[in-house]
Amino acid sequence: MSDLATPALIYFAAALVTPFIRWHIARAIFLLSVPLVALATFAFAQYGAYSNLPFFELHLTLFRLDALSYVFALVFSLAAFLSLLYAWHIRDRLEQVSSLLYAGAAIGAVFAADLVTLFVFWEGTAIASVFLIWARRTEGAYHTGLRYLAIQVGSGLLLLVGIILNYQDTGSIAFEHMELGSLATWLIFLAFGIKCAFPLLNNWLQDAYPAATLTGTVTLSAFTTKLAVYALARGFAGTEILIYIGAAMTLFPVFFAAIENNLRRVLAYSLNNQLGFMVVGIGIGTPLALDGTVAHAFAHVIYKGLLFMSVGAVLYRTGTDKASELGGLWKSMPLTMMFCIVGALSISAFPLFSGFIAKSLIVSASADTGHFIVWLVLLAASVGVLEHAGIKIPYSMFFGHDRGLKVKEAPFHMLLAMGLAAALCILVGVWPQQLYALLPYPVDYAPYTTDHVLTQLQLLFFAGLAFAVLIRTGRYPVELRGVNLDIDWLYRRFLPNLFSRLSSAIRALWQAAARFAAGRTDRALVLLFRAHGPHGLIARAWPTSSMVLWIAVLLGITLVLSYL
Amino acid sequence: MLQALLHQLPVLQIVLPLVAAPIVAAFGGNGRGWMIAFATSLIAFAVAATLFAEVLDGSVISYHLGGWAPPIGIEYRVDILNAFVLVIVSGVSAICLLYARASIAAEVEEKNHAFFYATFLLCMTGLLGVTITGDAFNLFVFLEISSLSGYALISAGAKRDRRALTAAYNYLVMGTIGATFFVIGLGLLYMLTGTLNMADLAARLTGYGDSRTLRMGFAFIFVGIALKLAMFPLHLWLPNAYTFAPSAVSSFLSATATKVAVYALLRILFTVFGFDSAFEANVLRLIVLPLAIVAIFVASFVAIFAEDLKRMLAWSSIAQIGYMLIGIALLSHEGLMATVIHLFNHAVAKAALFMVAGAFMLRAGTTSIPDLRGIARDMPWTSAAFVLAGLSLVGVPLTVGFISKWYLVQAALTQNLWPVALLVVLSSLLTLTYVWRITETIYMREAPAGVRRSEAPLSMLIPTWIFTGLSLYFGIDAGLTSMAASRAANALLGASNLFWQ
Amino acid sequence: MKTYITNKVLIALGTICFVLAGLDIAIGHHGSFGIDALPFFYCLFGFVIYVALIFAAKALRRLILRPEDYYGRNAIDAEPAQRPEADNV
Repeated sequence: MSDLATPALIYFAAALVTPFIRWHIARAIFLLSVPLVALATFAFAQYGAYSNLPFFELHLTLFRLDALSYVFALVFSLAAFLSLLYAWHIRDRLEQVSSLLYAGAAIGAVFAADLVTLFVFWEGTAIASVFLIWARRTEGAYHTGLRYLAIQVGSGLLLLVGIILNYQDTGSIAFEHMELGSLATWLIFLAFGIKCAFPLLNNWLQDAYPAATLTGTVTLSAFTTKLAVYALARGFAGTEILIYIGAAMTLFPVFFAAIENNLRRVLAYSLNNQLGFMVVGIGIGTPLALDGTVAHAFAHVIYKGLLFMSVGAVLYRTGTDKASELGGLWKSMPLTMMFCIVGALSISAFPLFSGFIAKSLIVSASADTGHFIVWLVLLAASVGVLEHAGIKIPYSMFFGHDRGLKVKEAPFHMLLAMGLAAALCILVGVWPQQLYALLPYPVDYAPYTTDHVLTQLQLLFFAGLAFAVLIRTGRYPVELRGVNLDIDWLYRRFLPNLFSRLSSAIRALWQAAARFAAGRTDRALVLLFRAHGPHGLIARAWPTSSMVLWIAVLLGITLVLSYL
Repeated sequence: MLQALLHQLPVLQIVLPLVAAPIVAAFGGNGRGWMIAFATSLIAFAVAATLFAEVLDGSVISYHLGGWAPPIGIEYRVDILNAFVLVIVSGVSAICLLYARASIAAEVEEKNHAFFYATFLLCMTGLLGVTITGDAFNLFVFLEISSLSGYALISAGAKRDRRALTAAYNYLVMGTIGATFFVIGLGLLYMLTGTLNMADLAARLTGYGDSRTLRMGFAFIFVGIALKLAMFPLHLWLPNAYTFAPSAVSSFLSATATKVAVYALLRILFTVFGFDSAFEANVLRLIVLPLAIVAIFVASFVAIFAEDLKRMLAWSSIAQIGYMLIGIALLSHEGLMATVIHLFNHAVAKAALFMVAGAFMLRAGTTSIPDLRGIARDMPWTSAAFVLAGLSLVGVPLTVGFISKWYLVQAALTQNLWPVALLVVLSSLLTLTYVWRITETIYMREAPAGVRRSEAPLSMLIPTWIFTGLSLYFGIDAGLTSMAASRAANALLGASNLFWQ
Repeated sequence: MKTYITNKVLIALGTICFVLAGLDIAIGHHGSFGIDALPFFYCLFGFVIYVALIFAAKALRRLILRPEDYYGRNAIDAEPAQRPEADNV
């Protein structure tokens, strides 16, 4: 296999061609074929490292296929296919091209066996994905995109510095397991953490995902954060601090999600919470826990995509994704409602749905390793998931307060994409062994024991009962228009205010200094131009004699120096 | 048969274009001249590539002209360094000729075409000869062949601007002085050793030890070559010559002539004199290094203020030669690597840029910068090539320019010459400034009302993009160039005497 | 305003919960830490945490809720609703 071969190239090549396909149906068909072709190139390949590319003294390996990268690349391919199918109606070539580049970069990053390649694709996902936000073409989306880009590229820069330091420490750029300890590994860890939306580093996620186009959000939800999960699983499995970071991640978004009005932002918080489960699994680091993380990532990409699709379909028909403006759509969009509920049941981990068979591994692993507090937090977080993703999302769109919206059912291609995703959720839930067989470690785990099914149903139904009681007693929070402060307040409100005060002070100082300096710089520039400008001393065409003079001078100096 | 032919490759490299030149002159009317010249240059490139492949492992091919063994006979000697330069020269020739057909048709009178291509081939012969020969006097002869035909090529720009004639005349006078100095220096060495074969010279010089004659000879040869490679302040011939020459010639000469002179300097400095001579190190450290740095800044400033695109590129060449000289003056393995890589990089990038200038000349009739406002709208492909090649000149990562600057900065840092490293990095800002100035003019400014220019013909676009593509490709896949450069630097330094025996 | 959580829904949910709680007595469940092996642990945990979560969130909302135009024009929140079915919704 040639030096540069990685399935990501298929996406990039397709992205080059896409803008030149004029007929939009042909373009959509072409787009749909891309993930399938790319998938075919690695789906049946032997595990191993394929392409080696010398770069300075380093060796880059662009294509490492093993169990871990295989599962992630597989689910990324599925997600790319589903989101492109969902976006069938889109004619905006910018968005289509950036979707392809984004998916390609994410898959390329998963296959990267060295940190330099990882860095390139890491930044690639950042740059390609911001266009999915800008494609919305509103001022708010533009500014949100800038914030998103700054944070994502910042993560990449930290990664780059970490890689360089790590290379100096160890002399290797291979992307393998690392131990936290040196500055280098901490920087890499932090870079992964930003993309993985660790607590306090999370807000780009809730800021950016609701700002993309509805199809863009579906695409965004699949790749960036799961790429970070993959990177953490590859690099920092068994790092204890991750258990507590992950536990915090599962819990705190729950409260924000419960009161958030923008449903796509609710899902973004929910996404954050789900990542927490995966991070806990990575932190525990036992084979069972890591299998759980990978399985959860797989299931999560599908059902989270499904939920974003259902919100997107509603947004497409009604023009809004705010809970306060929606409700009672079950009559007009019954199929979307059904698919949404499948997604809701999956994410809430109802038995027979995909979330159940994946999340159980992580929760069991936390119990097996004796992390009582963490286990309790995960259990509480599971109730939280049911609240905001299992109940709030479908309830506020399809039931809740009937706003008298008269809309059509979602378009066929959206229903098809949602249907496929829903079918996957159920298939994986009912026949988990197919998924388990793909996991990095052999799985000896039976999710469907009486104990487990019973306790899970008790947890969920009693929580549901609480919901019903709260609604009936009028204590369930009503949907209110507004924004909720989060960490982003720091950099969107506090720091700008601080800076504007500081900068007005500095500006005053600067202007005084500049008045002083400007006169001098002008004079320097004039001098520079007098000497170097087209008719200046130096640039002028000199007569031959002056050249001869210079030769003499140079010869003289050389001779003097030689005799010294 | 094939084996015998392979054995004759070194001489074929020279004889082919040499024989083709009179044929073109005699039968080259009606476009036949171009065809013969182009075919010849392609074969020459194939020959050079074969030689390069043969010596890539570090072996040396020695060819005795006429069967006379050196030091009496003339020897052609191919090692990795000059094979690399041969590939550059012949490759650039071939691509420039591809480009020249349309460009020269517009810029040179029809009746002179046959002579033009004949001269072009002669110039190429000279440059290849300088590179391949192992004999110092033979080097002088080839240097003069290339220079004389170079003057003629530059004067071919007279149809467009009569000032080409004065530019060529001035170059002729100055170039001849340089050649004279070279031959005087060579004479002094001959006086001392009685031999002209470079390997033999080197061996005997170490035997004779130090003497005033030796140092005098070194000084004359150094100044002579410094003039040929337009070392500041001996660059005065260059701006006008490159500005007024036909675009294809500017492109060809900027990519090859000064590079071959740099090669000759390397050979003389490291192979003949051996780099451990103290006085040589003095000259390099105290003269070449400061002058090179001054050259980079002064020439870049002039380029920033230039009003004509070709003149800007010419001044930029003077600055870029400064980088190569810094690499030599550092006297280290990395430094020489940087020089050799930059030699290649600059050849590729500058050739592309001059080609762009030629395309503008063809379609807009001018290379005056203010008149190129908004031309990117009409000539998008040409303009894009300018930006990419310009970025390579600046040294942006993922272009070849980055690789050589990287090595250069590394080389300066390993010797704790961090001010040099800093200045090199700073000077990139100046390069960025003049590249940006053009980019801004051709992309951002409104085109003059009512002016429409069509895109350059494919026969010009393709060569331009070959060079642009090369400057990107080798920026990403630096393996081949850095390996060749590393081996060449090894050959020059470590075994400068051993190797040559 | 009519609600979707009618008495029928409430009764159905209550019945399911009753059966699930009954099953806990009939077959019981195991635990990993002791406390979770107690009868009705999961039932109570689910109910209590849900209620606690909602009340905590409502308290949090009092602290952090701001008008939609709080971040000015740099945010999407205050932008008017999109035109349905546009390409850039």
